[in-house]
Amino acid sequence: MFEEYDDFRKKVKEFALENFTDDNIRKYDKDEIYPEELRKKGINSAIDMTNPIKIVIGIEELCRVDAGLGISVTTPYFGNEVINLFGNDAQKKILSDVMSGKKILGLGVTEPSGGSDVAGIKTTAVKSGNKYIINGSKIFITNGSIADYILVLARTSNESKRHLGLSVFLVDTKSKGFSASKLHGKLGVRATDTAELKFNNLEVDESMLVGEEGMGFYYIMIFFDISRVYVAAQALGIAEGAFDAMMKYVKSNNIKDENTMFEIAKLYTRIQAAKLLTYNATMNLVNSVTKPEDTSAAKAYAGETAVYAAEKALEVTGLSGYKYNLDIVFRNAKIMEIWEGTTDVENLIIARTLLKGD
Amino acid sequence: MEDEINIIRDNIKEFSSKNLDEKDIESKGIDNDLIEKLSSQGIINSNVSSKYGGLELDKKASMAIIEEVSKYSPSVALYAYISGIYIKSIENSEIEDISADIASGKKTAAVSFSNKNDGDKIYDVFFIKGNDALAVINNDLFYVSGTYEVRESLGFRGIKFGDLKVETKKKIGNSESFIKALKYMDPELCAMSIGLMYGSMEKAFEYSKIRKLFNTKIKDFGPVAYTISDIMSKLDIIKYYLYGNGRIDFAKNFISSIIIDVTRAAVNIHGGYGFFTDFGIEKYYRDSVTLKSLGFMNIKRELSDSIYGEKSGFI
Repeated sequence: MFEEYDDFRKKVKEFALENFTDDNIRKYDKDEIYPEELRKKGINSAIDMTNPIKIVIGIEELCRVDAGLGISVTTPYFGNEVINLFGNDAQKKILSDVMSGKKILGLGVTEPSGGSDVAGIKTTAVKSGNKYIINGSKIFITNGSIADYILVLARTSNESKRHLGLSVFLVDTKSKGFSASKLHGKLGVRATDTAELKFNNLEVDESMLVGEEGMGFYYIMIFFDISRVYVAAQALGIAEGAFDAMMKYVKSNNIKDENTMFEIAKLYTRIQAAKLLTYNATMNLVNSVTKPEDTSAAKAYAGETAVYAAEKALEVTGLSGYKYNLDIVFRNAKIMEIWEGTTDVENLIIARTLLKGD
Repeated sequence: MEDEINIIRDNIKEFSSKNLDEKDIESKGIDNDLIEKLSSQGIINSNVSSKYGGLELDKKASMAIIEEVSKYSPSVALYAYISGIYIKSIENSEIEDISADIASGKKTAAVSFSNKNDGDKIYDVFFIKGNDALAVINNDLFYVSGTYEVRESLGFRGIKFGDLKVETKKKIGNSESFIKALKYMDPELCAMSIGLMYGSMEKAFEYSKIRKLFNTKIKDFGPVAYTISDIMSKLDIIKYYLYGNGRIDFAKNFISSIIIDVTRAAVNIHGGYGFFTDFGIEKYYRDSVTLKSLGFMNIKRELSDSIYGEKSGFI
């Protein structure tokens, strides 16, 4: 699939191989620093946000070489779809700076007490004149300490149903009352920026309310239905990278036992299945078809495949795996089963959507 | 006998809870003070002959010790395992006397776990300090010394990992003595693995009782509760193989099949928090995959040879 984008795929691959060197992969992973210079280099070469297919191919090929760096250079646009779909002109003006690479965007949904429970968030935004006053905190926020703007999901009213009464705000991180603490000690994707955010009487102009008040939960769910496709692409790239490394090891060591042959066959088949699911979900985006069950199936399956591939590749290469950076691949893969909805959450979405359809 | 082992377990649990902070051990390593304590507690010398200052404990007692230690600090458990391999490997060799120093903690053990060597370089050595190691080179066992090139290890970060550039080497036996030592320490390897799995699951079990999502404790969700219960029941079967009927090969095979899934489930149950070092759960996942590479690579062959009673499954 997507053969018409082969030239673009090749270009991204070349960028990744040239810039995601072993030294860079190890350095950014070890030091847990965001690769700002690589992000800038990637703009206009490896990053093309003009359509979902190019986004998916870009993410896949970059993560195939290294997910820590690949995700770092592709997430500065994180949340852009929320503004694109529901934002006003002022917000879209800010978005144009994000899409051109001048500014970095983030999205703050998860809270310390919440995790997967989006409707249970406690951060509040109280209307006061022509402003909203935001108080609360967010955790595990990608780009949290490097973003110029953060989309914040906050409770604007208490309703009988918890998912009602939530709204999204576009917050300038230079605002008084905003603070971000970078979180250290992640298992993997350590080049990416992850932070805890605090809002202490942060004032945001009402013009920065995205869409309608009280509709935030729906906006975020629609966004997740898009972003999960991109996480599936991250996972697919990781799985393919692990497979590449395993094949390199098997060929260079002339391994021919049947057990290893079967592992190769099983992993190849599984990756192909993950690819089909991911590309199918991508085509739903292209065709503006809303099928959360397809998105979640792609994300859950590709996520588990990334972890499976990393484990199998290490099983075959043993202690030699580090030579192919498989220790890092293994650590990077795990987040694919956690962020943007754990596998359990994806399974619930699939089942509930299918049951609702009856 | 069971009562005695339970007393030993209780003592080791108490010692481990007070002295083995794995997060600290992973960042600072195992220092001299801790090694001396490990010796005085019988953790690194439980199955060593008394002529070398060891405790000569029953094999099951030795397994119980390493299992309990592994729940708190897989790195320390691995070091105890390495010490056991080292001491057994040099038995009746010309450097046999080193055993006393290893058992007392005056000297630390270092072992290469791969048969790879490239000219003057020995690969994949686990060590604490010093400049020497045991290594198999072309079917012979050598005591080598030189300079270490330290690499970042995926698991067991309390122990250093790297390659040794050999400056001097002394042949002390053949590879058979090293292979026998590995076999001798297989029960401890399994016990360490069980401890590692219990360590991760006990954390997940406790977390599931306090963590709430959707206003509900996560233990009340079927996928969480059933995963933990299922794993706990499997661990009990492995313990039976290990301590009950002594089928070490069965235990090893079972462990090999589930160890990564178990520690992965423990991370999953912790959600986003499980991905961070501070929560002390991701280390079990890293350790489990490293452990599988160390001691379980050939288990399928070993088991099928045992079941068939002859060489099998080699094509």
